[in-house]
Amino acid sequence: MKRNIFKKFIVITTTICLTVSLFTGCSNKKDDTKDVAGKNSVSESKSKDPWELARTTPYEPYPEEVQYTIGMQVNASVAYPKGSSDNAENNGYTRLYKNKLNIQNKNAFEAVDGDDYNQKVSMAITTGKIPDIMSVDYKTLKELIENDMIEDLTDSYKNCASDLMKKIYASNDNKSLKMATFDKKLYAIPVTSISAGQEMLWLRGDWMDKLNLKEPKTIEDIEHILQEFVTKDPGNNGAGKTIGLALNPDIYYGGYAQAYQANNIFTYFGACPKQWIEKDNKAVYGSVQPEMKQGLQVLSDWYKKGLIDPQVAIRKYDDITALVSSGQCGALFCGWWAPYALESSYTLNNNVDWRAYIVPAGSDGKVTMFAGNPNQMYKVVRKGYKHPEVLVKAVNISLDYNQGTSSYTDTSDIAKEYLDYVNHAYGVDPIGGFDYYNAASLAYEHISEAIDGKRDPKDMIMYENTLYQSCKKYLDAVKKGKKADSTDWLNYNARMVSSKLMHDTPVNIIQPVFFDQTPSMPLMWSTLEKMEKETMLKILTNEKSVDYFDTFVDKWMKAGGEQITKEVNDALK
Amino acid sequence: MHKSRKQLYYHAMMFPGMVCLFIFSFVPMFGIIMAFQNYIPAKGIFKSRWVNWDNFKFIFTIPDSKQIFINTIIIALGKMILGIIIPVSFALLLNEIRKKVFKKTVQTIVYLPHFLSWVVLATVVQYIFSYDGPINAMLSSFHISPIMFMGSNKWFRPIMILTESWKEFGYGSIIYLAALTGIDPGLYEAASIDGANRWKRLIHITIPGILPIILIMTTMSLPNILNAGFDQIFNLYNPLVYQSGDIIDTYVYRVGMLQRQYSLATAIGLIKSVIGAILIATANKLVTTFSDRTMF
Repeated sequence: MKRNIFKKFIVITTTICLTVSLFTGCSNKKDDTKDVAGKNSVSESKSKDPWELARTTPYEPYPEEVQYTIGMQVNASVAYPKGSSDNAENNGYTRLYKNKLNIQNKNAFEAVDGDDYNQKVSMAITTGKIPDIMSVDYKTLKELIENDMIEDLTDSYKNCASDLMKKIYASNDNKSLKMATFDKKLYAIPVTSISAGQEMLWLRGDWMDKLNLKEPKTIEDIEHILQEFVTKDPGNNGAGKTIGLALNPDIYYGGYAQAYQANNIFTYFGACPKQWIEKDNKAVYGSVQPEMKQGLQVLSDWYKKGLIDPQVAIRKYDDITALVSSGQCGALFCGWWAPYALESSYTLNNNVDWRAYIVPAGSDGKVTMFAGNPNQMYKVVRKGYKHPEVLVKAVNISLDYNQGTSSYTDTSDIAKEYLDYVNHAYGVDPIGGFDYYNAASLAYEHISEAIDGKRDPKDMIMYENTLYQSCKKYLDAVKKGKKADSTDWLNYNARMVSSKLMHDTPVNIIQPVFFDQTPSMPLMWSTLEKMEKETMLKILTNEKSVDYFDTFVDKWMKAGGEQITKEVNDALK
Repeated sequence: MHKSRKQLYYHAMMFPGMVCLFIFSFVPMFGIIMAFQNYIPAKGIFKSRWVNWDNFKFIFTIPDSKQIFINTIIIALGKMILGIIIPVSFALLLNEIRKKVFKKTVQTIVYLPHFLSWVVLATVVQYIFSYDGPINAMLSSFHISPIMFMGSNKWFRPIMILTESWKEFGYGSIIYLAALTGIDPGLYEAASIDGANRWKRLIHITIPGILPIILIMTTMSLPNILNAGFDQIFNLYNPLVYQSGDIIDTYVYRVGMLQRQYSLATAIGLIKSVIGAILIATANKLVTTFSDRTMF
């Protein structure tokens, strides 16, 4: 009997322990923000003025610490200073915000990459508990507005946006703000995109010299150069091992001038793949316009002649970069920042000499490009958060130090530490900022003027100054006949060589008219997209003739394309 | 009375497990509701609009839904059939080996691929079948011009089936090897005294001995008829082989995860589960009818 009771005791306790631990695991964390908000409202009634002042002026700090919860994308490999106990909630960035505005973040969730972040945002929305501040995409922004989950930021922006912020938005005609405005109310602080500039054809100059090739101007010139590269093997890869043009299996993916596409071959014939453009006063989808056929004709011919990677279908981004780095491939399309992708080819081979050409130019002598989405992300504030202006004020600070001149004028320890973080521990900034639309062109102007001695190196933003130092190091190394550091090689080629080309070459710009989603798109788009990718790749690899394009357009229209086109036009009315 | 009280302890000990099962398996089943709604995350399950069968109807209006189902069934069926034939024959062959060291070494080596993820293996497979890979090098020595295996609709499905079988056959053979050790050695002795050679012994003793296990394994793999292996195909396919390689799971991934159409993804998932459940019930019935054994 005694034994039996003991047994019973053991069984019951284990069961209870296990069950309890199960349930506690599931229980919710206490809501920290409520306490803080409560405390604030008490002090607010006592001394209304400093709170009111903080609420309505750009730089005025709060009289007491204001906390905000945030959903944050964190760089997983960030190197915190040795010996410090810094983390994503307490670091050089957050201490600057705390010091300047008396605000402190509490992280509601942290994510390491974009997919992860989007999933956590979806989760937060599903459970109805979104953080006070977070960044979302356009689709989510609209969803949040529809369901009345975020604050109207019109007043906060009007009262607290700094002149610098307004200036940056003005650099792209305030398109960014317009996209975040619904019913004349501003619902988000948009994170602007930087103009990509022209897509350039990057060629191995050392190969061109070896084969005595002239710089390309027309499509025929490009073809000739690719032909010479492939057949004469200037890189000594062995017969048949050299790949002509590096191309990704999607051929184009919507972002103009991103690496390994061939948008210029399409825009040359007036086609704008993957863009909603205006044609005869109506919005149409660029990928299904007849102009596409001519571009596809050129590319599929090149494929037939072996001028495009025969294994294009199975290449991933990293594979292509490996081909280019190892010297197996000497031609690609990319924007002015190609040296970032080409850095390893320089590390591996001192003699590598990449040259950029903005080709093929149309009859007016200019290349045609299409502009991108004015915004990358939208920063929003939870409905009911007591201090929505915190977001605007914090962005002010970030912009001042990165796009303004505060980094030179402020010599305090906090600022020094902040700059250390910006330069060495990127990716744990809870708020962050954004840049001028023409930031790349501006950087070229400032750096080149400083190198010519026409501009004080401190009369430019901090990042440009870093680049300027790097470019100078590159020039010094070249002067001494030494091999320049690969980072300096990269910065000089990207900022002084290709940026100059971008800055100096006139270009035709097509403005896509629609970046939004229509009601049918979520359901139908993946089918249409699959159809598009499959068709383009099949035509490129000569599995289907170019005429198959017409069949594709027909199928595309029937599978929902027609309806979506109609919806897009309705949305634009 | 006495018996049920004794059992009470066991029931109590089972309770935490049942709670887990309830929380992680039964509660999420309420999410099936999403399949009949136009689910919007911000509104949640309770406020999203009901759309009845619209999501299901939509699935069958997608132009390539037929293609996707056919691809899935062909690839999954191929994997199922090879997934039984290869491990069984491998186990039988291994069973005939007398040297214990050799047997164990081979066994360990063939298990290994099972523990590698497809993300890693995809690179290997892609290299082996690439233009400059070993297979094409071999072909060229026979003066056959190189074939783009991974971009060919003719080759993609066989490669998926073969590589999956290669990866899993070692692990799959464990259970058959275990079953083989369960056969009474006395039977073999008696048979050899009666003059049965190796082949006869295989046919009349070994195979009948492991047949119940083979049947059960086959039945248990039937519900997988609509699981063609997301990890593998997602890492190996490309737009050129959508036609032969796009399966339900990759489609659901593109619609559900990339376009965030939770309702549609749930509807497809539900169809899969229902078909799987029907198949397992039928299979169980078949096994009970044709043999004296039952799975449940």
